[in-house]
This record gives sequence, structure tokens and C-alpha cells, in this order.
Amino acid sequence: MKLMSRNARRAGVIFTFAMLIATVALFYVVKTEGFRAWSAVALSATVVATIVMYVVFYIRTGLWRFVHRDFAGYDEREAGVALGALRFAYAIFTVVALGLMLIASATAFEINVVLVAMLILTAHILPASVIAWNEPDIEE
Amino acid sequence: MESRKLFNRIAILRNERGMSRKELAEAIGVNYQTVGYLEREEYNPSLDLAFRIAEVFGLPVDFIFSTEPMAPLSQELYRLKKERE
Repeated sequence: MKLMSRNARRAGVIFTFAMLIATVALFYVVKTEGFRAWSAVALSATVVATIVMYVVFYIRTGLWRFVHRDFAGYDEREAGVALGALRFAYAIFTVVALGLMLIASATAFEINVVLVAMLILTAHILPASVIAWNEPDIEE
Repeated sequence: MESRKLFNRIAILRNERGMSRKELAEAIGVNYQTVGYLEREEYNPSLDLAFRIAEVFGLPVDFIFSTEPMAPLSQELYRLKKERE
């Protein structure tokens, strides 16, 4: 994992999830109001920002790999950190997914493919995000 | 059960032997960042890892790890010297 301060990692997590939420929100705006120049530009920008954050913040820093590598590659501390992050991420994702389903069933809110895709991406990056959020500053 | 904080002398022993964190990490089979966590006493090692660290330094485990804050080595030496006298 590349050395980044905890504040920088937290800022990266917040920005990524802000872009994910903005993408979904803009898609709903586009769907209801139709394509307009500003919404098309904003939607493109959030999608690009999400992809850039995924590649630059999660892949290149090794955060994603930290929770997606062979278990034999962990030392005992790393195994504990990865398992704790996976457990926590699973709990968060369950609450978010069930909450959205509850809202959708109780209101006129419609779950569409973009929202599902963003939920899948969320599930994919959530364990790495938990590690980025929780790990203390690492010394060289 | 909440584990107790373990104090250790890993940093001072590593520096005394002129080892880098990477060298120690390779010798005990962990990531070098884990050595940093151990030295800052932010992570309690398993018994197996504690023994591996003790083997690398050639010292007993209870000289490297303690549940009580550890006195500086110079103070320990002075105490031993006084005991011999």
C-alpha cells in the first residue's frame, strides 16, 4: 500500500462516494427532465471522476489489492485488518441496500440499472474504503 | 476479551543491530509496515511471531515483550551491575 496520510485517504473516500452519489442523482435528473447540456456535462464529469478515482485512488495506491489478494499473501496483522474491513463493509452494504429497497417499496422511488451498477461498485470498493478510512498514518 | 497492551523493545533492538524495518520484516516474515505497527505498540503479535522476533534478536521473549512499560536498557544494565556488586 502506498504511503498516504489518513486525511488524504479520507478525502479520497469522501470524494469517490460523493461522485458515485452524484452520478446516480444526475442520472435520475436526466431521466426525469431529459438530456440537457448542463446535465450531460455534469453526468459525464461525475462518471469520469468516479473512474479516475477508482484507478488512481484504489488501484494505483494498492488499496484495492489489499483486500483482493490471495489470503496466503497476508501477514497476521494484515489478515486481521482485511477481515475486519470486509466484515464492516458487508454490514454497511447490507444496511444501505436494504434501506434503498425499503424506500423503493414504500415510495415511488424507482431502482434502476445505474443505481444497481453503483451499488455493485460500492460493494467492490467498500472494504478498501474502510481500510483507507481507519488505518492510522503509516511511517516509512 | 479485550487484549492488553504489550510493550516491547523491538525498535531499540533493531537499531542496535543496524537493521532496517525491511530487513527485520523479511527475517520474521511480515510486511515492513507491520514492523512499524509493532514498534509503535499499535499491534500485539501472535505468540508465533513473538518467538520469531526473539529468535532473530537471540533474546528471550520476556526480554523483548512485557505487559508493563519497559525500563530503558541502560537502566536495566545499571540495575544488573548493582545486583552483582
